[in-house]
Amino acid sequence: MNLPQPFIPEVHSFEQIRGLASKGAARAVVIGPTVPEADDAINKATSDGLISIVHQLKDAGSLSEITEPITTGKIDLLIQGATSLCPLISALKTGGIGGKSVLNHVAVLKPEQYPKLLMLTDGAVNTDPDLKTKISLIANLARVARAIGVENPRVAPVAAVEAIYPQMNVTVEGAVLAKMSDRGQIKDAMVDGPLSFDVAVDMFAAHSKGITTSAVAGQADALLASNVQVGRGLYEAMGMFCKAERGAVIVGGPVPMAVNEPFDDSEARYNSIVLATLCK
Amino acid sequence: MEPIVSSDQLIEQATSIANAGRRKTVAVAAAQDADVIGAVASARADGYINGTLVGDEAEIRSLAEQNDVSLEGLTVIDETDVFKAAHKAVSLAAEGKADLVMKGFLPTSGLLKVVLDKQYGLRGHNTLSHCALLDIPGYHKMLNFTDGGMLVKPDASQKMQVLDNSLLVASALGLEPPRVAVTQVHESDNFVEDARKQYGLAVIDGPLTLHEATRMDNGAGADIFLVDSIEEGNVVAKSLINFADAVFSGVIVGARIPVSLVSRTDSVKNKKSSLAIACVLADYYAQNNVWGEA
Repeated sequence: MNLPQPFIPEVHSFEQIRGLASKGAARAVVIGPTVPEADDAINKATSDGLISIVHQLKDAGSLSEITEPITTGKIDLLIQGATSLCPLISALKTGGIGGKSVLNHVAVLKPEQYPKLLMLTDGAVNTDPDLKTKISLIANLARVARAIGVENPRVAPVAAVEAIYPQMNVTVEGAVLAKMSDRGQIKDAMVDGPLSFDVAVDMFAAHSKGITTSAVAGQADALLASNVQVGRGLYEAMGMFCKAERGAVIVGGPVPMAVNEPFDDSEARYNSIVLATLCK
Repeated sequence: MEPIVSSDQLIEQATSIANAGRRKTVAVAAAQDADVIGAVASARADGYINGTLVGDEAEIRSLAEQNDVSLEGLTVIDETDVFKAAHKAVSLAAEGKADLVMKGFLPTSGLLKVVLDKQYGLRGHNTLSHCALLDIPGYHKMLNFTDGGMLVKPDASQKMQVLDNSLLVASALGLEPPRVAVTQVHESDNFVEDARKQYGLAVIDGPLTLHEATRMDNGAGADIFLVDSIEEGNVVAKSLINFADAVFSGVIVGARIPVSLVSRTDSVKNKKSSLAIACVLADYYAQNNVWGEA
């Protein structure tokens, strides 16, 4: 089988992403206590001139401590410490600063066995996004992609199958998103779905299943998970077993937030901070 | 019995069952499929399976020749009609002439409909579900992702049946106690508590993420990863197969015989170990009279 080569964007590694980060000393607030891996990451980002820490909150207890510096324009980004995400998300949403915008978790991954970066949303915020929310998730994801130098990312709404079945809503929504993309209703991204995971990232699998004319299949830049379990499961599988370099941010709010998982090492946490500075 | 914790051990176990004089026979429905013929011929050459290929004989022989596969030791039954071939393969299992059936060149749903046809008496008491045993480098045993293949969004009762099916597989692997991670617990049901009582499960917990599941029970880690939707089981498992070199052994459980299926994109190793789990499961059913008198 003669397979086309996947399209590799100019920026395809974390080394390149780190090279894009500016030494503008973005003003950051760290929320919650930190673990040694987080301290290492914050210290490195500070000494690299990427951030300056304005304040470190002991916990996420007081909403106003987070919202006040944001609304008064005193800070550029938030850094999650060793604290649960839920109160931070409520702070960004209900503090009267997020408006009606959709927040989402966007992870950037570089699995060892994939030739380029693979973005992923949403493994944390939107439990069971409906079609309308998914459109917003893609828009936010496309902004992160642009910030890291990936223009017009190829986005795959992932499902268990490529065929569209009326009784499988995930496949129906994947197809609707693809058609909206075809018609230019989704800007700044190329969307095709539904695609199974292997078809999204492996040209051989795509062609074996007869998906030969897709702009996304076999060369996805980003995966849209159908719900938070899928997104989180993928992030954990990539981080724990696929040896993926990684970082993650929550975007869509008034300022971006660098986020982490308990098993993230200091490099992943540093990458999250770099991503947040690029998304501000 | 030492628990089986890797795909290599799964193939060894299937081989030692065969060496003990209990070699299993697979009946392939509509066997005119190069990948299926290759998988069965290779398992036959390895000595852990006998095969009856039901399908378009001329096509089967031509595919075997094109792909340089020897059909030696395999029986071929000529039946060009795909649907009739499925009935023939399933009837071989119903008559005790085959221990498992395998999908060839027909849709999965077409074969399963025949397996569940009442005239064959092969129905179990549960819904059918798919078990994907993943041997993941970096994890010390296999993790059974279920159900990422059959049920789109199981309700509590279906999920209990999926769990029951996966516990049969755990018993066939000699896992004592089986450790079960449930990824989502709905407020409307009491799934974990109900399951614990119903099956006397010592180790079951949820909701747990993949990371938590692999560390549950003081680091012993889960054997069964009971997911909430077909997307969760399918997508996460495929990420591990594609990017972490996980070896995948898949089987459909819930009928009185295991149903095996392989796909073109499966590696040779995946295909072999998928047939091996079906053999090990079929042997467990027979040795323990799991289904009683048919």
